[in-house]
Amino acid sequence: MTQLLPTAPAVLQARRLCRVYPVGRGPFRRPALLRALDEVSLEVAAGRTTAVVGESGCGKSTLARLVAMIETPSAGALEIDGIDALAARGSRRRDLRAAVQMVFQNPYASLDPRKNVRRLVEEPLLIQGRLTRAERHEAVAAMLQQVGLRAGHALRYPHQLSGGERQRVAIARALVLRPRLVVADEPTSALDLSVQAQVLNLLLDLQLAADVAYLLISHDLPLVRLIADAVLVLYLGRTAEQGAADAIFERPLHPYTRALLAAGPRLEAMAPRRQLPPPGEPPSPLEPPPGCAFHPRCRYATAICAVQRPLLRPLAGRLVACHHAEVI
Amino acid sequence: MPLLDIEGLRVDFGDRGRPLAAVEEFDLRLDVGAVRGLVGESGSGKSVAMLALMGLLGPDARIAADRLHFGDADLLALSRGARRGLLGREMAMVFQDPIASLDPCFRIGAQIEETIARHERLGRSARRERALELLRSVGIPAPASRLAAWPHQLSGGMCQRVMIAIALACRPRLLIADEPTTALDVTVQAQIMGLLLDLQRRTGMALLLVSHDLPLIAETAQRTSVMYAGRIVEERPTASLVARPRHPYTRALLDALPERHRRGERLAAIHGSVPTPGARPAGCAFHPRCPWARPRCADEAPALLADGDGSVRCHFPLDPGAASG
Repeated sequence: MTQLLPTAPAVLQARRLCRVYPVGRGPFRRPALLRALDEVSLEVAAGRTTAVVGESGCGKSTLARLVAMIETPSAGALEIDGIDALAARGSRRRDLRAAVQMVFQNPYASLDPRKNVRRLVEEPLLIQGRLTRAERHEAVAAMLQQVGLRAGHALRYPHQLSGGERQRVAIARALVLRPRLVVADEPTSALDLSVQAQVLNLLLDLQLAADVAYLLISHDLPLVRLIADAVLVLYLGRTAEQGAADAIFERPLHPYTRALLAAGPRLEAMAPRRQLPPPGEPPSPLEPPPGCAFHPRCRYATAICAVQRPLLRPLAGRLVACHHAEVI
Repeated sequence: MPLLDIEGLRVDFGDRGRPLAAVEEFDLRLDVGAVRGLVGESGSGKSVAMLALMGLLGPDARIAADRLHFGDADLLALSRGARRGLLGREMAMVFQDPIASLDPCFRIGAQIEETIARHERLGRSARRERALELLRSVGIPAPASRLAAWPHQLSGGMCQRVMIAIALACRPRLLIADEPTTALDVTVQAQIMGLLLDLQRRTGMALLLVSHDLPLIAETAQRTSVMYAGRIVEERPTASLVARPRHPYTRALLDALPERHRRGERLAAIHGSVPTPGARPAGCAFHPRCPWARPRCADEAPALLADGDGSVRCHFPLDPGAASG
């Protein structure tokens, strides 16, 4: 994928990440294996945005958790700033954890209601334990200002803030350690419509100011189209298509990417009926279909799709896993 | 005669001395078989207005209206029992979270039959037959075996199809769908919207689609009402609402959509946040956030006035095509 964004060095390099969960099926049966993520590779360039899209159950949140080192992959390699994140131990590991931070979807749930704003933003600094109390308070004050909160907000509690202000606090908390990468899991979808744009603008401003890269998990394709440099489309834990956002939005080559793009509503009053959405829903990752996981819902599927799993291969400036990508 | 005729609906919560108005001066007319959109953010009062119309609000809500007619029935004059008789038979509702809306302790078939049994005198086998036919009409594969399924065995999209089947069990004349696809994936969302419109056309029922998703409403509804802070601020045919919004709030919502921007552009954000019902500003509720506000907007609350092909609640409606301020 290095050929896609040659200018910026990679802050995150993940190769063939797998995550398998054992799923209990009762006390006397062996647990089944759920492949939540199956050989997914991805690269995020410094200061750029890579978006992960796909339906629920496609593995996007699992990928986010692996990248943020909340969970360990079952197999694969993960490098952050060129350092092997899976082998790192002790202080080295702590440094890497500081380099990757997360912003969650719901700021109502992700902030401890018993801590005030100053304490919430200070907490990551306390855990890192490098700064004195005075330095920490200075850093918190500077961070609050950067996310557009006033000094008066520092002593308030989450319930005294609006949804947009809460998400600003969550963003301040993530950025106060000056991370290289922020994993943002649907950062605006729980916010009021009229506030979403403010928070997005803030994320874009901070990216420029702090040179931070984003791994954006989102189902909002118009949003992804607007801010992502690269896109990874997941289906049932596998990569369907990935590459530069321009190429993929201009001309999606995987039938699933096409279906996703066609499925969203368009802002045209009484638009002619959209292209029919793919029938059915994603199958259970416990029993993925043989061959291409998308073939039971795919209008272009032929005999080979039901038997042979398509390899991820380069085509027209991106990677795509489809037997028929040339003719679609 | 319209199917639904609401004028001056008001819903108050809290102390009688210090009432909190969730909905005020709410007007809505819906013709037989029409599709209308109702757009608003969380806290705008759209769901409260719909629950008041359905008679589903708790005793702490006080409902008043100049007019609240459904067909030839005056809903305010009806007894509780008569009101209940309308629910499910004449007017039905589909909610946002389909998994929470189904009772986890009963099989799918039993939950559909319950609605039928409540309103129609049908034998057991006839009820079962109707339930099967309903599941088929909402596109559930292998419907016969699904009758015996438990809610937890179905996906969110399938649960929403079941909820739609229950809502349609007695062929209502009005279906209110409150964020029916917000909890679902985009591909499933498209399927469910297609299904709702299909059923609407086939049965001739009226559809009132409530959502915060302006693009979704735009491609679905013939006319659209926009709510802000408990009041309707603009109402007109959807095509002209989207192309030539007259209320600054409608305009700002449209301008903030990612699809209206190019890569690398900052979004045209609306500053500030939605006021809570207890702290709504005097004058026009939108004036502190409105780039076009003038002194009069802070002093005097505007009324909803007829305006071209619809109506607008603004002292200084925008000129179509004017640059944003």
